[in-house]
Amino acid sequence: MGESDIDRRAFIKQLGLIGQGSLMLSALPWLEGFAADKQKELKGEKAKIAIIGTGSRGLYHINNMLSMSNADIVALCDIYPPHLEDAAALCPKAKKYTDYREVLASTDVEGVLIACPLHMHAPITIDALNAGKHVFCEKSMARTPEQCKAMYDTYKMTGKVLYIGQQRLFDLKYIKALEMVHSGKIGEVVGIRNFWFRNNDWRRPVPEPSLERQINWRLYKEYSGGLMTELATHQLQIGTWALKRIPDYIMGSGDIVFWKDGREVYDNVNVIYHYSNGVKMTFESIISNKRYGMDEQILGHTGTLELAMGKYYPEEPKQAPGIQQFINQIEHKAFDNISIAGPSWVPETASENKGEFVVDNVKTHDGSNTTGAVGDGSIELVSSFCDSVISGKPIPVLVEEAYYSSILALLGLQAMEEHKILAFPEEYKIPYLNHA
Amino acid sequence: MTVSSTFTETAGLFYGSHIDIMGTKLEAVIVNSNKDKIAQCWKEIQEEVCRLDLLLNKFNPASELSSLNQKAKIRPVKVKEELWNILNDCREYYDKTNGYFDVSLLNYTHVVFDSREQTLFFKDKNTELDLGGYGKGYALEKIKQILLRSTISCALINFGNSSILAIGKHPYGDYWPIGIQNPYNPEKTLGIIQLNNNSMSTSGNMPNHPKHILNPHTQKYMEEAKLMVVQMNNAVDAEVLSTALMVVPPKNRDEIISHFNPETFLLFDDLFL
Repeated sequence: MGESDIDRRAFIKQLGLIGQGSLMLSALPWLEGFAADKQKELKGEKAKIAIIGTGSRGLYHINNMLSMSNADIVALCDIYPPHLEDAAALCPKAKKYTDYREVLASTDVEGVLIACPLHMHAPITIDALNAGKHVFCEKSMARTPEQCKAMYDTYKMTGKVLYIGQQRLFDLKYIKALEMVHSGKIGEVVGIRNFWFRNNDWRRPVPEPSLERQINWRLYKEYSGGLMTELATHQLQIGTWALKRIPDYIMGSGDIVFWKDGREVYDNVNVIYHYSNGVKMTFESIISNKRYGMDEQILGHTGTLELAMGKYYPEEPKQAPGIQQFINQIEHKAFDNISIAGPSWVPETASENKGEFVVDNVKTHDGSNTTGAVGDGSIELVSSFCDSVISGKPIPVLVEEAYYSSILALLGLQAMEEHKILAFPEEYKIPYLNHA
Repeated sequence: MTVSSTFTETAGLFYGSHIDIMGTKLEAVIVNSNKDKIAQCWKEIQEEVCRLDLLLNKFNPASELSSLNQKAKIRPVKVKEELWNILNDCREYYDKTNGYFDVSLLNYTHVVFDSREQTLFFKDKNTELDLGGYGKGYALEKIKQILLRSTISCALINFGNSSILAIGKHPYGDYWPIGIQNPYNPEKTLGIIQLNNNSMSTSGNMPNHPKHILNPHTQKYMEEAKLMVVQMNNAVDAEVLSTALMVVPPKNRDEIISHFNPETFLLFDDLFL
């Protein structure tokens, strides 16, 4: 068993602790594949996967997949030779390609994992699904709302497996926190705040100037929606997940404030998503100040969740129980010990509401890593994809959630570019969350 | 400062709490059917702890101790009877603990007592007297007197979870069963103290409050995950001994404990284990 399998086992075990076995899984349908009986059906098979795009994120997945017992990397594809060679060094038996169409023509390949620049997500995904391949595509879904919709339609039409890299759906601290939202633990949700702060130019080193746009594709509009498609999509999904609805209008403002280095995408954005019940979700990202890091905060009228920190803060922190517990005992003519003795209680420590972790052994990261962080659900997500490739069955919820988060990111970008308040366009609603 | 209380008529049960007094909170459970008597008693307890806050709390700038701390480094300062007695008492405890209980947090022998003039002078300008490891025990002894004077025979007084006084026993048991919580793992009970007409004191660190016990011999804060629990007849003795044990090296513990002869003691040296 590889390291990734161990992680996955721990994940399933903890998942079981969050709810009560099958009862819980029924509320989290996209995780049903992790159930023991479903795992048995897979009979220890391996999914034959091609990696399309072997840059930093692709290598991150390859490294994880090498220790998964259900994954077999059979092909590698990249148009940039140094990246292809990096991957080949890890997977010497995998066949190398420079044209993804050849990968899709290969009968050895059952599923493809796409980790290439954003503008290629839709063309490759759609071609792959139409070629009968199962697809894992990194987030965001696509460069434009039209492309996202076309991907979604192709997915539905072909009936093939499609995964989008929304790893939060596979991250225990998020799963638990959202379960708390839905069970009413924080009361009525009255606001959602997402932010992602870094302090760097977001550039990768370029060996020669002609490769600038190819390597630093994130900075150019032709390939990327900038902070919205690369960062916001992860977080905007929280709104859909928590509120089970999509916003009715969107407004925002974006600028290049600090990194005036020829880039075309904003380095400073602020977007508001308005929901029909008046609740707002915000996304703020600045990449020239990192003080506040990254988090998603769900504000309820009785409590707050900091999702990336894995923390829950009740509005009224509970007082440490004291000897009044004896009052209740004596009233009921009972006799039992109460555990209260300890170091001196001081008011300063009581007023500090340090919150409670929503799951044990919570793994957090500050959002500064640009390729992937430990324990963020990525491994579970890709492993689940491999299971789905073997079973051939699409999973519910994931694509729909990813679709809306990508659409929200792109609509936010459009609102900023057009200096307009946008109503959510009817043509981008899909049959999910009561939108028939 | 927040004071609140409730009385359950049918069971003759009183619960009072007083938050933010002497740097912590005070709670009282009093079992007696005479409502007026309890109310009077609780009022006296209130007045007493407020008075003691003004006497002993170094964090209260209006307290006698604060004033002494400011002036005694400059010149000998006249000290009123009660504080004088307390600080002399602390000197005896200093000797009894081989110097490990030191309210000067530095070197109590550098505090000059002039018995004839009843003045105090700090030879070392960095001296600052801190009665944090004494005051709650002293207050509990005062509260005990109030309760006994009022002929209360069943009560439990909790001063900040670290100092607890029992008058009599739990109405439905042979003692007040007080569990000791592991501050590093609150789900876990480390042991149970059976309080019956006596006191217990707990000293230790908390994960979010690790730097509050200073070793006077090394001038270093005790940051280990230790917890010292002492059960004794006298609340001041209990307070002093548990405080001293936090800094006494394990090999010297037996000797110092023998000077006090506590009813029970429980020492936890590594709560992470």
